[in-house]
Amino acid sequence: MTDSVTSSAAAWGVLPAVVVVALVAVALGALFVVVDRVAVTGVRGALGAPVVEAGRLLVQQRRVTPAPDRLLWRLASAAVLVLAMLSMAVVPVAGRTLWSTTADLVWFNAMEALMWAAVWLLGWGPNAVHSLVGGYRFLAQGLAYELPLMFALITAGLGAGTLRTTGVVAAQRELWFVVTMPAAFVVFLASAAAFAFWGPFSAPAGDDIAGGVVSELSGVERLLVEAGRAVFLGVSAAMAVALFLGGGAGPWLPDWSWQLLKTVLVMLVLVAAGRRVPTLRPDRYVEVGWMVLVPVTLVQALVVALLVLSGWYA
Amino acid sequence: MDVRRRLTRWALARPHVLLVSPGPRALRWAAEAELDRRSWPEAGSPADADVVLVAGEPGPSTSAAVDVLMSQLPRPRVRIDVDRADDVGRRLDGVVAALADVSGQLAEPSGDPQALLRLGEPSEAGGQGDHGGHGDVSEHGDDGGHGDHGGHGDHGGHGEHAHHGGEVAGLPMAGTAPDRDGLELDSLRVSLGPVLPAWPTGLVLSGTMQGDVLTGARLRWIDGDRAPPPSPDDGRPDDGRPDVVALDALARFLRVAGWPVAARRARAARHALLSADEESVRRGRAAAARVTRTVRRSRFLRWSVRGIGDTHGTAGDGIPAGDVLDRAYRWCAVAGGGLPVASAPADLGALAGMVEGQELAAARLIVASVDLDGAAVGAEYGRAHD
Repeated sequence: MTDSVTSSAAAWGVLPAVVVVALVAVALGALFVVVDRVAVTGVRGALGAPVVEAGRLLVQQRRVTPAPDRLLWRLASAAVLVLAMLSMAVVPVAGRTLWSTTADLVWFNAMEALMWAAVWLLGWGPNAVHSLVGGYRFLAQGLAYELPLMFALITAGLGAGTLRTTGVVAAQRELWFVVTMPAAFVVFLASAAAFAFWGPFSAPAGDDIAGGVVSELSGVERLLVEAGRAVFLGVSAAMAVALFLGGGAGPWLPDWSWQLLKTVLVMLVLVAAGRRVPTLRPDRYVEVGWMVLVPVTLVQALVVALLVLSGWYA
Repeated sequence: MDVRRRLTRWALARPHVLLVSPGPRALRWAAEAELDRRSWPEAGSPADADVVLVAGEPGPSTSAAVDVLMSQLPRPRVRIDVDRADDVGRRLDGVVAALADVSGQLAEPSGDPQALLRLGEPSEAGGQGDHGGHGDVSEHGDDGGHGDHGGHGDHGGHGEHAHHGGEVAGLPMAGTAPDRDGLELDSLRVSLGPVLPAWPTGLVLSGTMQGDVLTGARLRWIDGDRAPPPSPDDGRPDDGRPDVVALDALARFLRVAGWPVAARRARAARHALLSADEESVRRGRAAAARVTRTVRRSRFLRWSVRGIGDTHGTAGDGIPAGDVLDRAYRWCAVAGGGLPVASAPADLGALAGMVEGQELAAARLIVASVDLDGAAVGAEYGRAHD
């Protein structure tokens, strides 16, 4: 990696860089689906699952409900995948991010915050009860995870002294941030599961409300939403590697293979932990979000701030 | 076109199946075992499904509901009816080809769900205007027929629904009404059922929802006391085995509680216990012990559902004492062979009283925490043959 060029758009040209990053994002999403499928139903048929499922949804007709809010519903289904892709723009691929700004971490957080609107509209759009209840649940969930997630992201930026993702990776040459920021690392991964409403945080799309926000989706719109959720989870695993596990740093192997290895490892840990537990009811863990996670992430940020002042990261 | 057909078959090789089971439990178990064996997911809603699998002979209202349900599936779609357990595999084998055959006919005029719903109920405007329960078709004039569940406030809610704010696309608009905290909030008439994931087929929960709080709750079987038709090969001897029944109830509860991995493990143990092979049964017993231990030890489950649906110490009306978690633990004990399963059928009126004023999630957990499918239907089944 040449230190002066940290943006792949600048290094490879805009179009090739966009294509490569989009492909990597989709591949990460597919990888997550495979890992998740193995955990839920076993190895059989898991490898082809993302492709077969996508094919099924492409063959399927789009179906509408009576008196839907068509515009907002369609916008919302497309938005989930678009936001997931856009958040990939600040995740390093082969040492470079698609674009590199002085506020990469804020960009990542902004894409995820827009998910509030996307998922709420997804619940609102079809004019159906289960869907709407799913939308409400997502908002309740958002209240619980949003602040801890922001503090977790900011903690990594604080330790590195920059909000540029490549800068955060570079700052971990001596020591991975996960060592001094374990709480931020865990909160970041849990929040990723929450904003993709997956695993223990899947209440907005729960079986008890017939699939909630996705209950009325079919065909290409369901594909967009499901792909968006998977890409978000894959991208978050890659982002966790960049922010807390030293990015592509490692002996012998080239950077990209270390990054991939660590990303797969994070996915395995996320799926293994997430599928071990039942769905947590949003009304119960909102309390934990505010009474436990907010203080814990604040203390985490304080500890890191003190370490920065003492010159630990220098 | 051969390439296109092969591609379609490949894409539809793992269809999602919406299970409707008006028949005996053993038939549903056979269907679920076959779906699990193939790793075909059970659909959560009509929009998610490619196939409607009707296990057993539906009564008139359930039959009408399945028609509405079918019309809500995106194309290509296929319905199969199964009434013998040993027939399930063969019928599912043909599904992929059948789906590929109909996949070209996307333009064929489809039945309109709303038109089908109106056929079922021409006069009552507020009764069916929602999508909460997929394919609900109310019985004609059933409002008068539920005096037997009196004393639980299940008729108390009707007066306040008179002022709906008009209709949109034939659906009643949500009006406003004071909620449990005295605030004026939107209230919407809903019915859940008769077909939902992990829900007894034919059961309908109707009421008013404000946010996700359910009031004026009423529960009924849409096909009344109609007993499931006897079928010679449905494996009746296994139908009443307490350990198997408990694992079945536990699997459904876990699905509603959002724990698909554990639910699948409970189903797998149930499949193995029903096997004729001695070795499988032994493995099934070990698997049942493992999954019930996992459930009982789960701190997350305890924290997430503790306190919901508490009877405050009094058992009665076929509902075991305690909260939903106690009842789930009870099934764990029965699955391990420690206890006999409850024999008294759960009373729908008492259950409606328990879900009154609860959130939707809690209401689903409460209904899933009692074995309605077996208790009520089974009891009626028994009566019909005595």
